[in-house]
Amino acid sequence: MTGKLVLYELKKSLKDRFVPVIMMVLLMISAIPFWLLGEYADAMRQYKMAGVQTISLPAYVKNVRDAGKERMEKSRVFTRMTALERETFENSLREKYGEDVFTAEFLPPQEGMADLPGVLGEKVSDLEAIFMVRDLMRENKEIQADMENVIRSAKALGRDAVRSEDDYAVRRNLKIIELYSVKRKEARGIVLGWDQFLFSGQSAVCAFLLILLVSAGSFAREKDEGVRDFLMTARNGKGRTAFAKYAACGITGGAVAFLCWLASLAGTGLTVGLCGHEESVCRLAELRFCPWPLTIGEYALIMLLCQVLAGVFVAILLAALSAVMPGGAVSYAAGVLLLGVFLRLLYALPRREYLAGPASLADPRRFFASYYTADAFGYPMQWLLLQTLLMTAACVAFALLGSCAYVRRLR
Amino acid sequence: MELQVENLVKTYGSKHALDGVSFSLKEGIYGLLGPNGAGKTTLAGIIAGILRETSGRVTWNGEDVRKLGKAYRETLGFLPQSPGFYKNFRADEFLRYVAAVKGMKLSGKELDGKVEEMLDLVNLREDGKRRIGEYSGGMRQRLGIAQAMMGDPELLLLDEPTAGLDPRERVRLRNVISTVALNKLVIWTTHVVSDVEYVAREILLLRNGRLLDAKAPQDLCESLRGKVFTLEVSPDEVASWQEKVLIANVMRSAETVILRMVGERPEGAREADPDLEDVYLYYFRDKSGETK
Repeated sequence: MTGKLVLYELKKSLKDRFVPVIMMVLLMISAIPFWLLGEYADAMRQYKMAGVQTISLPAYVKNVRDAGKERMEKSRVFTRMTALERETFENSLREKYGEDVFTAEFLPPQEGMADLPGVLGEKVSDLEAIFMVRDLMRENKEIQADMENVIRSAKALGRDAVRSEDDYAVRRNLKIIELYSVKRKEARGIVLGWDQFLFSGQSAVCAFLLILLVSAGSFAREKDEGVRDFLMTARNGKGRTAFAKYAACGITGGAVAFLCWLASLAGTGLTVGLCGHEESVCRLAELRFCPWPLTIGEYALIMLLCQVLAGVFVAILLAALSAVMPGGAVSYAAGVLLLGVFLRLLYALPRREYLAGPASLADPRRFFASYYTADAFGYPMQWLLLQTLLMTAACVAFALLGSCAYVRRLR
Repeated sequence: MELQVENLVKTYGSKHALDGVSFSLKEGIYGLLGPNGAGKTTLAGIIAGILRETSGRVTWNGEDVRKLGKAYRETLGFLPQSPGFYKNFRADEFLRYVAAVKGMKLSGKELDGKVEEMLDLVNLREDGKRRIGEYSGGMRQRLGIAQAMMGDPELLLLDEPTAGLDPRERVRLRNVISTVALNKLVIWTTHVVSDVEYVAREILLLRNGRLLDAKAPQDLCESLRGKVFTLEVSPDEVASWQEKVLIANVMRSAETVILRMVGERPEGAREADPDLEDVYLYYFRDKSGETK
């Protein structure tokens, strides 16, 4: 019976003729890569400075897409190689162009380097292949050097902590040494589109707006439509209906967060292309100092999980708020305020360790924004779990308060 | 089955919406009659459990309804004064939702049959697939009645159910309620005498939050014996008579006017058989003699 009530609650939200339309619009906005506009403006500025004729936005987008496609095709052959094939390929280039072809600081052009077909096939010249390998080698070295720097700093801070008998700092630095000593996955191919997808944030904003639209009027609707009196006199009209509303809002919140994430992924994939999900997250500048050896794909899934959880929590909080509001208009206004606070926490730079908390649910990179937040409570993953528990407890508390307000008899 | 209301008081600041109302009802149809502002909707709201009383209590089969909670709501069918609906739902969809909220355990086929039965009962079968937003006021009222009767409740509380209905629908509803009222307790609040005159087992008269009387319709009429008269006057005397006595009806014949009046017997007047409308006028006139 509760399942049926949940379905009806979903129907009530989605049957409004405006909701599907606004949903479509916001999903489309999630998919549109607005960050491309900024890149286009920068590119045209540089074109003008260089005296080159500017191009239209559609032409620029086409160029970006075509360039991405070409890069993916060229690197595909390379990334599909086994370790043995890679060794053989590198040895053949060393034989052809010298032992220091990958390590020399300056690479003088040699005959045949730019010719097609190259060692890798018809579409990739030897020069392109050499630069691909050199870039990957350089990047691996940089990542390794950064990890070693972190370990060196942690050792120095650890020694200071020992001297000052600060046990917590000692444990913290030991943990950092342990985490950053784990070898990161070597770079083996190109990474395309993931930094734009993971750090644009527009899908989260669209998701929260949709959740506001669907959840903020959940309880207030009954008062506005005049159905509350009937519900208060029906067997399942109080507690079960309240539970059904929260469940429906939670489901909608999670689904909307997922759909917006998916739309953004699709939009990025169609525009610039997506490549390199199996590469280490350290390949992304924003996540160079990620404490764990995650792949980009794994990180994207963690981000999805966080966004879905945040969507569920925000939806339930907005529904609970609507239960205590006198009507729909006030409910939506209060919901906008609550959402504003939530988004402020999400996008504000964390000044204190605990302020990283609520933001981290929808944006895990906040864990790594500073030395402090990367180690809040010692272990970022534990903080995420703790935060999930705290948010769950907060949602349950607000839901109960909201339900009490909803079912109380009028004075 | 028995519904008991014990010394019910409801105040809003210094205003007494209900002032020590007590009665006991068993099976049957009961009319709760009173003018606007008498406290009918307040009383209905407290019995339904959606309003909080200031003092007093309501019991169902001897148990306080507040303590019964869900068990009481299972027996209750309530039509509020201004029923609300989800405009984007179809009527049949809404009744299916009502069935779910009322906890009716029916299979898909049984539910379809029940919904059709209810729509038929209130003459909405042909419009069952339309959106409620497209319904007229009368259609919504009928849908509200169907909603109240879903689940075959033992206690049916109808707050002004005939509001917005044309005379044919009013008669139809009266007949429907009479038919389904077997083994039920129906409380029908209204300020329209003809709604309950012929179907009610007992009429409760409510004015300014107080219960004036509670009797069978015929007993109420009998209590007014010797106070209802008819008098033939000329048309230009009508205005002066209206200032002196309580006029129940003014009927024009060829050259004269026959006045039906309630109160002290004027000279030349003939005694008439009192009806419930006379009772209403008599009990609910104000000090100036105007009916409230």
